[in-house]
Amino acid sequence: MSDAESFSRFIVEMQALLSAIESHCAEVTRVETSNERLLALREIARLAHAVAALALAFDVDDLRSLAEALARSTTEAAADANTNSAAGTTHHDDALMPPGWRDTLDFMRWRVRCFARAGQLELPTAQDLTRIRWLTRTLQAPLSEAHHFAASPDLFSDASELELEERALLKAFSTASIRKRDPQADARLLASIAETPAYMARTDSGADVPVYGALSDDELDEVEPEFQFKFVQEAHGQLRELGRLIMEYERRPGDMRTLDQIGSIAHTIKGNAGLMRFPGLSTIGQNLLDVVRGGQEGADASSSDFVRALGRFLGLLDQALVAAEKLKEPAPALIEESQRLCDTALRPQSDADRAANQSPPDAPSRFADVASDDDTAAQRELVLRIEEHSLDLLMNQLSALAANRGAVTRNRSEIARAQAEMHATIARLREKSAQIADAHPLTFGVGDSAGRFAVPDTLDGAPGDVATPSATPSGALRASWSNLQLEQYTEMDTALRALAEVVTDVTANYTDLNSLLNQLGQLTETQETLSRDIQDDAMSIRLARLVEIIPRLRYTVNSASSTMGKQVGFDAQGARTEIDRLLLEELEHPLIHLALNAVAHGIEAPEEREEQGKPREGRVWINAYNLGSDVVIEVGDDGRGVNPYQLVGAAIGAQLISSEDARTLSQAQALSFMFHSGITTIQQHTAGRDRAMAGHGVGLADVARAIHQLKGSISLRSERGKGTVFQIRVPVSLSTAPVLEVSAEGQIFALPFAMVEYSAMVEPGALQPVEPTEPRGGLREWQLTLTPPTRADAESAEPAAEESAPASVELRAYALAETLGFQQDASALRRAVVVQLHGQQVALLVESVGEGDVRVATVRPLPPHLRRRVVRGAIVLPEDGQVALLIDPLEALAQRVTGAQIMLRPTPSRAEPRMAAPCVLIVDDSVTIRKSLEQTLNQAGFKTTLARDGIEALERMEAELPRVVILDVEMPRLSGFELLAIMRDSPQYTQTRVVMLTSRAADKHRDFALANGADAYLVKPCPQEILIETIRSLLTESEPE
Amino acid sequence: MTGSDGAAGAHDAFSAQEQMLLRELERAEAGAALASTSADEGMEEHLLFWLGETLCLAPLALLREVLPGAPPHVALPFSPTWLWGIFPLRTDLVALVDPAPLLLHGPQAARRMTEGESSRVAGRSGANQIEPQRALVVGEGEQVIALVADHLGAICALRQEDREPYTPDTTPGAPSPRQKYVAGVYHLPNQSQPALALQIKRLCDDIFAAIEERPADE
Repeated sequence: MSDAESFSRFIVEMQALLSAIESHCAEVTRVETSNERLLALREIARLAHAVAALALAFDVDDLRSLAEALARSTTEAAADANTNSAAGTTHHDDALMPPGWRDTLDFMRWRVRCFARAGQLELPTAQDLTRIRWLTRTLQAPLSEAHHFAASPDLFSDASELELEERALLKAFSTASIRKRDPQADARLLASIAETPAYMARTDSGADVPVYGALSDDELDEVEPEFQFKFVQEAHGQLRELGRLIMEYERRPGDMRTLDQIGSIAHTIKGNAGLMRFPGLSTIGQNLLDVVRGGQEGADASSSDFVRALGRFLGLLDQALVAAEKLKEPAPALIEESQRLCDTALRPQSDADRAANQSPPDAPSRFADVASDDDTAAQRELVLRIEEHSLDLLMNQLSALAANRGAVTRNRSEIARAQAEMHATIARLREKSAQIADAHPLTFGVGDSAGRFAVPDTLDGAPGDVATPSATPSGALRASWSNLQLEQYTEMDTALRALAEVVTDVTANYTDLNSLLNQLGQLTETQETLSRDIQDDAMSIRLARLVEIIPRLRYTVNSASSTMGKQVGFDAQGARTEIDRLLLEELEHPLIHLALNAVAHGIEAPEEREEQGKPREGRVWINAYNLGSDVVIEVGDDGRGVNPYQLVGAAIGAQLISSEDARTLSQAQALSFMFHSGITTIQQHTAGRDRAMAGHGVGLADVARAIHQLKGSISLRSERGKGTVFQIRVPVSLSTAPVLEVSAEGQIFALPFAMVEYSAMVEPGALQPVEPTEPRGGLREWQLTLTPPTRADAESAEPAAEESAPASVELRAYALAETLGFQQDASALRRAVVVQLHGQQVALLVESVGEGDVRVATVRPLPPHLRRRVVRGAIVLPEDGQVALLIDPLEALAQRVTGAQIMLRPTPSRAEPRMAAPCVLIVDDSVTIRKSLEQTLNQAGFKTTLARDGIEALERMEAELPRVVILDVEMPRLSGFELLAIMRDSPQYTQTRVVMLTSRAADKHRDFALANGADAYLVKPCPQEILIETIRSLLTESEPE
Repeated sequence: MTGSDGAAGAHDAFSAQEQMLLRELERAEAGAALASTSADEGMEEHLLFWLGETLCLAPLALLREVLPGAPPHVALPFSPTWLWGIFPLRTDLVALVDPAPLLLHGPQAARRMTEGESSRVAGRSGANQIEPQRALVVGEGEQVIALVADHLGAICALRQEDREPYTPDTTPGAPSPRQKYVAGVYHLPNQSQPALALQIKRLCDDIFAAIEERPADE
């Protein structure tokens, strides 16, 4: 490591240690129990020891001595705290800290900044030394003459005193292995530290004044965008915590401990925002801080004005932070509002105000159910921040370990094969040896009774079990044995004897080797299990619970409903559902937008709800649950619902779809227009204020885009008058994904399993080329006739078709390889993988689909220069340790086939009722006919309602206006002809088509019906095709309403 | 998967000289001042390798490792044909690149590119590619790349003052490398043609820029 690198790392690490000490100092005043305080004090002492060690390593004696003094004094303070705690004595929290600790910390920080500015370590000036002596005395830990500025060799004599964090930091210095080093980033950080404002000393009057080397304004002007970005990220987390605290405070107005914590966060945001050159955000933070301080110093902190102001500050900070994300200042109105809020909150209250603001003692707070004990406990859990890239590096290494594991498994198989071969070879050797022995019997046998050498019969026998020439002379020969007879052995005899010994040795060695290899196999299996567990645990590090964003959502709903004059309750289910922390952060704004949308556009005004027989208070809810390796999050309301016809009309108006194609849209396809920019159903029922609340400048199109970027999907279902549910489905983690392996042109690709509907064989002749309407750079298009798998087929790993499917479907099909820009031999395309694209099924043609279970794979991002929009990452194939690209099939299709072309050619959806025939009313007094027709028409994709006679038919039509009525003639109470007459006399039924279906075949009946307004006349028994064709032809004559 | 079917055989065929080379490279990677001894003498060590018929020299200090043969790799969509694919190298994903098209003008580069074009199918992209004997891994951090080379030569300790300026007509009859990638030429003993000292970093920078995905409207 070069001197420059060492120096850079000294500065960075020292800064980190001092920050950690400061954080623990804040803990001392923040924590609740004496034990927690004691722990915090001990932490400070240990970290101060670490600072001393670093300073010692770099011969910065003044910092080292100050850190030692701080460590000693804090240790003593901890001992005092322990004694007092045992004696039941309590102290003001800050009194627990040794005097002068804050100035000591500030001085050390200033010294580090001086080093950074100078680009080198510097000796302290005489003024510094004076300051150090004063600080040391203040810390009540005067240095002895012998100790003064001398090394402390026994400082870390007992390594066990060091905490893991300290050891890790020290290790980082010695090995550079704790985190990935980025010299450029460190250099920038170094520069940043050097540019921070000078050390501020607190005078006796309490004012902060710059003491050393204040920088000029010019020097302070520039802040690296990278640091600003990091600040914004961190501030988002602080706002989340602030939201939780404010809701906690609303639950217990006047709770000073919570108020202190709010003040602490406000202080941090104010300070950091100022440092990062966001003065507007800093001002709002300052105003919040003023409000908090006012509350701490005697203002009525439990008044509703005060509590409301805190809540509003959260919104203001949020908006200012959104501006900061774009490196912009918030609107001046926000800052002015924060000032007004500050004035209002701190306004002295009259008794009347106080009485008016006082809540009844038993009135539940709006946020009474916000923080359960579990949630609070979750918030208190110790959190260790880890940089994302460090975690990614760990995941990559574990992925490499998994690949290596695959290689080990393969080698084990090879070893097993070699073992089997060796076993066979030894058996052959034994056999040959026996044959030779048979062919050359000994004259004076040292073998068995037949004069043969014995060879081991089995390979499993122990060496001692094997008969040897010396061990097995026959009884008859043993009597005449003499040493002289040995000389009668021929060379062959000796060789045979040696061969038998070799066979024995080989057998013994093989047995030993076999035993060792078996042990090795067991150890390897254990190793594999452990490494899998480690991989799973490492993946879980990234996970966070949805509960973290619930308070903010709840606050958003409550705040928005209050502003809009609506009554809305909020429910959350599945808050413990876990999801990748990065995904959770990215989902927060879309979810807030959906919740606001629900309040603004979904929930009706209380009076309107009452008129509809609904409770005055509407409900907005969020529900999360795991579905396979995905997380499903639903945001729903019980409001007015969405009118799909209105959406389709808007889509036709925006020329997104022709009126002809609109007729064949399913309801889901119609509702999906909600996610197109420029398409809205917002009408008069949504006041301008509500639109402004929900809008936030981010439409549903942006929400959908954000979800898509997270490799997820969004859909909605809605029922008029009953409500709307948005369903978001995202992977639990971006670093792992269940994948389906397919092969195309000899290369293995992985497809996200969540995007695959099903896969099926491509039968010969099922592919028909389609002439492209425009050139697509080598991408061919086919019309594929495909038989989807039945539910029984789908019991395997492949996704199931949800509903009973027709025998075959017609799909547009493209070769996967060609969508990726590769060539493809069409004759090799044997399988189709069906995916959803813009609400329509499209087939991707491949050569084969991987056998066996779907694999949950670790996804490794590609290096920046190799990233492709169609490639989500790479997975490692455990079989051979090689990689397969994880393809985003929708992106691949979208890149080669325009979405509009696909979208304008919808094919029949198997599961959903057709919107083009929203309702066919079947009126017949025969239950058999009714049920038979119902089945036929449902299978053809129509929605049906049934009536037994004309009277019941009128009731049905009141409830839902059908597009077509199938009408029998002879029925009780009101006949078909009578009903026809009523319909044709009623204007509301003029657009409803009537098909007479009767057994009366005479022309006079037909003529009468047609003359009285029937649109078609069919005679029973009527072939199904003719009935369906008749209905469809009538429907094509009428536009959707 | 593509790559060398005879990887094991190629490994066996590693010559003693190449083993020594790898040991030297390991020493360099471990921080041993491989060049320090020669630096005092004004020498810089280079690895000699062939791209087709062209002799090239790469500074040893810039090499991370040498792979025996083209590793098994997968083709990357929407990439130039001379980006053969990517492969895992411990915890990194590394691009395997034939530098010749960028480096060379003339029939050799054209031949390579044409063969690459005609074989641009996903998993069989290596079928007609020139099978390299080695892959040289260069770069650091995420900017790592493997350059295919046809043959490896020795490590040569060379003096900078022996380097001659490069002009395209210096190597008549052979493909003319682009001047921007050549720092100069050396005349090595036992070699009939001069060896080109490559500007490896500049070459790699251009390769990285060339293989990045461009927005569709560009």
